[in-house]
Amino acid sequence: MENYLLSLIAFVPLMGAVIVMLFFKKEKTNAIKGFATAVAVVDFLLSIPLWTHFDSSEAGFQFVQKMSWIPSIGVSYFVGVDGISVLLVLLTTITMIVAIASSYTAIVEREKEYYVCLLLMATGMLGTFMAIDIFLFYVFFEITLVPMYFLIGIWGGTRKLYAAIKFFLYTLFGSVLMLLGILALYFANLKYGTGTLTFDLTQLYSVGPNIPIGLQSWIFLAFFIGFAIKVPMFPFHTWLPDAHVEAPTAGSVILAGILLKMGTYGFVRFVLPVLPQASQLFVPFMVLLSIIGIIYGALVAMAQTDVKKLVAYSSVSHLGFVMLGVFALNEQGVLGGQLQMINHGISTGALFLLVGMVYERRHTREISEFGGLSKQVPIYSTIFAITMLSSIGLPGLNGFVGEFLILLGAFKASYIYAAFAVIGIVLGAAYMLWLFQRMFFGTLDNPENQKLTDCNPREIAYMLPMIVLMFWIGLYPRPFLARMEASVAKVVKMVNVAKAPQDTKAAALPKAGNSSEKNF
Amino acid sequence: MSIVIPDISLSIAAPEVGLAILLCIVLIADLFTPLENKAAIGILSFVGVLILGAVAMSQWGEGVRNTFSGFYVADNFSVFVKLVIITTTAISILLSLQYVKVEQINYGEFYGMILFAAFGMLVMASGSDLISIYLGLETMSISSYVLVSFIRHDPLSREAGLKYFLMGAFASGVLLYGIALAYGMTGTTSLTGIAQALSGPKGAAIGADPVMTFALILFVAGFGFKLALVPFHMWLPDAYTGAPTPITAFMSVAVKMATVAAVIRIFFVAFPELAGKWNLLLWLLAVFTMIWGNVAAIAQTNLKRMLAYSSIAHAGYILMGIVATTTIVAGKAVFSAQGISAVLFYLVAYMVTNLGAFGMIIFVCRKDYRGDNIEDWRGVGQAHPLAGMAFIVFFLSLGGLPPTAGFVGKLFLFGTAIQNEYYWLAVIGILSSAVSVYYYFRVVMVMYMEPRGANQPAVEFSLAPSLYVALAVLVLATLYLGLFPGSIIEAAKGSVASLI
Repeated sequence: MENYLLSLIAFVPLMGAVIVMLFFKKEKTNAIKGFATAVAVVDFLLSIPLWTHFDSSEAGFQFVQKMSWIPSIGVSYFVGVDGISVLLVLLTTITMIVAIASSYTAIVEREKEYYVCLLLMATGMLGTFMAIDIFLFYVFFEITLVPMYFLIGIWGGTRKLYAAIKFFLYTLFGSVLMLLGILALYFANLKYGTGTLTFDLTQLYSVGPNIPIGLQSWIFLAFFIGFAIKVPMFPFHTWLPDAHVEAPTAGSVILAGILLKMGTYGFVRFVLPVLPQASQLFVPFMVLLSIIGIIYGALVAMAQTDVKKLVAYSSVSHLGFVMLGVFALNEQGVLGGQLQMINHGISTGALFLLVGMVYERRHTREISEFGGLSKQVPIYSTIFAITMLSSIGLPGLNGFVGEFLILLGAFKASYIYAAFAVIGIVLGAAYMLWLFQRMFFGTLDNPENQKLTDCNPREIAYMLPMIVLMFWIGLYPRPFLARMEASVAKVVKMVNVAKAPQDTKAAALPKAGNSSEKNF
Repeated sequence: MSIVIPDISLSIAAPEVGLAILLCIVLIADLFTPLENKAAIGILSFVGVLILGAVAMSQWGEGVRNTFSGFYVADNFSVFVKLVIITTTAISILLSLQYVKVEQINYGEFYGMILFAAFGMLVMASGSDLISIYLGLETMSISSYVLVSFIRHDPLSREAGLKYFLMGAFASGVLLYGIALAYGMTGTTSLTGIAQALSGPKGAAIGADPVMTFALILFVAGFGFKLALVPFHMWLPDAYTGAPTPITAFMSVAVKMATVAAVIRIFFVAFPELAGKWNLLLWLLAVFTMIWGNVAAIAQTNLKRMLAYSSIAHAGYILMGIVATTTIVAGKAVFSAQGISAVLFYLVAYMVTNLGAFGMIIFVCRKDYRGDNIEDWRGVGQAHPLAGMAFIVFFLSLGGLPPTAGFVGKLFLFGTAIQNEYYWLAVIGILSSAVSVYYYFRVVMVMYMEPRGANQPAVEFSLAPSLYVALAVLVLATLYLGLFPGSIIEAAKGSVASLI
């Protein structure tokens, strides 16, 4: 049973989508909502064993299932999770429930297609995090584009068509170039590695250090463009504000919570271990882009007048942190980056949900329209306050742990990195607190706001798991970190190998003893 | 004087002989079929073509067999190509059955001309001599001219036919001139004979002669016209838009397949010694074709015209595969079997996808309503979810996105380019293919995200069972090839061994 667990988790939403498509009449919206929620809950329940039965001491893949798929080109259906992906899978299954539950009243047209898209989305994302075969990974990675395109394009805001196609093309440009990188890696394995044609990542891990640095750098750049657009790193972030602002609330939650993580996850899963020397070589470049992202994202967020846009730009800043941690290339940094991925998924996802609630009531997201809300909607204000504090990294809440680890890692790499990152944290606190002040304090002078109703039980119910996770990770992060440590240590060890051979002749395996030679 | 009777084995040419017999039967049966029952002729052709497919299949794995004094060769490569052509012909006939009634061109000759064209294509696939390939090409072309202008009462169709005819005739002349020069230089028209002459003692001198280079340029230009490579593509958008839609579908796949087969055979078998020259020419053409095909498609408002430009772009990808197959190691051309099989697989993927895309246009067309403008598809996805999804599958495949045949096809093509270190070609190609998603998904956008206009007639899909069967098969095949391409890849690989 265990072997099929991951496939089951990945494909239950797909089956749900097919059933909705074939057997539900589009007028029966309540039945569709109920069924979609049930599918998401079942999927989450199925994923619980990944938490309880996960062996934290094991660095390699667990719950592995491997089947031959296209043997003539070395493609297998190969799924598994390790410390790097297991929490992302769990985050996905939780976020799906929240996303579906938050859409009951927000989406009032074409519900059937909407829930089908959400469920398809889930399969794509889960598969992306589970795939160990790069071909399979790419298939899932690309499949997520299509339902997201529809989510933005059909149920989005006023400029939805523009935002949808921009999102689609931007990410597609990156991922097709990444496909060339994948192919180059695949054939490099033929020449420098095991000499077999395989997309199996566990086999490709061994070829990386033997690829000459020139080729490795090109492959790195190909992967970089693919993942950096997805993250999105500065200067590839311009699709994100458009997509976020136009997407329906659940779309934004999925986008921020999970889809962006596919980029950062890609760096940790593929780029660092497979292209170690190129990763070392590009550290200054990557760190520079991350720091620009952190500070630029924060400054632009500060200037926004639209709440949702502000949260969108804060994502650029936060994901800059994640990338900074990852490219510190030490255990603390990568671990912090990993944890911050989860944290960002929870807190930014929650912020988008909160923005969605107020938008549903007021049909505006202009900050200037609000003020003094804390008196009118106390529960909403409290939840918003907690979420905001988690986002800026208040000790005791989840954001703190992640940011602290990232800073620790960045400091170990170079104190200059850390110094710049701290500026970002200060700015992050500034724009969030200022936002909170403008929206919730002051006088309640807008008559529209005096009619606002507070969170209803359904809204509290779907916010609750987010709040619980914020406190849990903030106060007792041990279980989360423990699950990631072994795998992160393995990645860090793989990335810190000796210099790559300069030419094809010197394609011999580097000695293990050389691994002490680090860049910093 | 003694007369040498050439050694002719008709059984080796069984698919062509069978098709000739089928043609005669169809033409005679047409005489005795009243106008309202012409669909019977279509069904007769369809069944006959299916039988021919089985005949062609039975030749698989028989080894290389020559006949007609070396003018004709049957090998696995030709069998593979013929199966693609025959399948395309069969599906095109299925797509035509309803369409010809709607457009009031329900004549028996329609199917007869399709079979004539297919006959030419089969000959091209098996031609092992410049003359026999040229004969096949002309048979195919002349039948296509007639087919393109088959809607006699529609000026658009007549214009398309005339344009196609003039450009096609010119291209045939260019090609024939190239053949004449090659014959003049080497003293033979046999493909293997030319290769021997070029690699023989005087080969280097012949290869260096400017006349030989000129002949190569004429070959490239002649086939460039037939494949509509940029800058020889001007005729194609008009011809594809004006032609009856099933004919557009048929030509976009089958003509491409037959011509590509001829190109592969001529360049790889006859001119490997000159690979450095023609490969460079083809490299340039591939780049122009991929870029311009995709860029020009963006501006189109007519769906058929957009697909016409997209078909130009796809010819560019295929050409990229042909270029990338060739590597020159120490002055000698090496062709990778994987590269040719990638091209063949891509053509199979393109067959199911493009027939499907044109099939969707046929699906929506009814009397006095062609439905071939992109605007005509407003809101269709909402009103007809299954049809909308079928179209999405075809567009995903055309754009090269998983999990469809087009994705695996592109993966192989670009894999060949990467493996043989044609990095720039691969980068240009894959970026232009990303551009293509913009115009494919513009149609999806219109179908799902824009409401149907108040003055637009409601969408009604055809109820003809033949269309349902054809489209269902094509959708499933597109997905199947995307998820389980193994068997076709193996077949494609098995078909190229005899070639190189």
